[in-house]
Amino acid sequence: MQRFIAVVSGDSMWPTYAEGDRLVCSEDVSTLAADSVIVFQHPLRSKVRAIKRIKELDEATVFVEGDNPDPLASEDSHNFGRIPLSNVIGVVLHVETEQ
Amino acid sequence: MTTENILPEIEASAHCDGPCGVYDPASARIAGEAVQSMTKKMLALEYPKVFSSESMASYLNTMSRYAAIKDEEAQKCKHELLVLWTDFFKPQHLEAHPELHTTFWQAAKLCSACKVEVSATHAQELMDAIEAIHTMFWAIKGREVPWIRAS
Repeated sequence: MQRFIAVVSGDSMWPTYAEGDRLVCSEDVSTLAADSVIVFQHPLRSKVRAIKRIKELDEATVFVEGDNPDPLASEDSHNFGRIPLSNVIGVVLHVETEQ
Repeated sequence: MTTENILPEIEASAHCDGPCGVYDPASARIAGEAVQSMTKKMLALEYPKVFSSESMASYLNTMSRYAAIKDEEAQKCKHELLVLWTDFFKPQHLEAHPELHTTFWQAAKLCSACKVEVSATHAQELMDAIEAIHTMFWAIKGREVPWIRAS
């Protein structure tokens, strides 16, 4: 499976991830589970790919939330509802590390 | 050199649900300046030297208009401050600005004090609190914006 880098833009995943963090992601989404952090196609804005944490999932959809405890800090499933699994682009593996 | 420096890269949006780019403490500052201006005008207004129905009506009309504007602008200032406090500022901002909550709480209290009283001291303290909020706000936005008053 392919991997890619997702560069975080915004504060909705604070304190887990901050603006500018570079995250190594996998396109293998076969083992998604509650608590996984995913990169997905925004359901209402075709040019936006977003990052959030899965709070719950079923066979076809996921409910995602930001980690930021501020209720206004994240545009997520509370705003746009559950997203189809087909929108998921990848799952975050770890923060990119330097050597 | 990074471990995965050859991987394709995308931007992952982690933004808030609102128009977080359009907040500005200038709206609170303008309302605060109006409060201070009306307070000064009320304190400077002289009682009529010649007592008559006409002079008293004019005096009371002017004073009541100053008071009404002061009250309205203080309420507007409090509203603008509360929007900034609850909508723009986020928990992570407390790390760099631990005085944030106290500053806003005192500023909102000063709006109320300026409504109740005719106090030049509290009007100036309100402006000082708004300036402190201005400084915190633009530091968080990473921009150097000077504190400039309209009056």
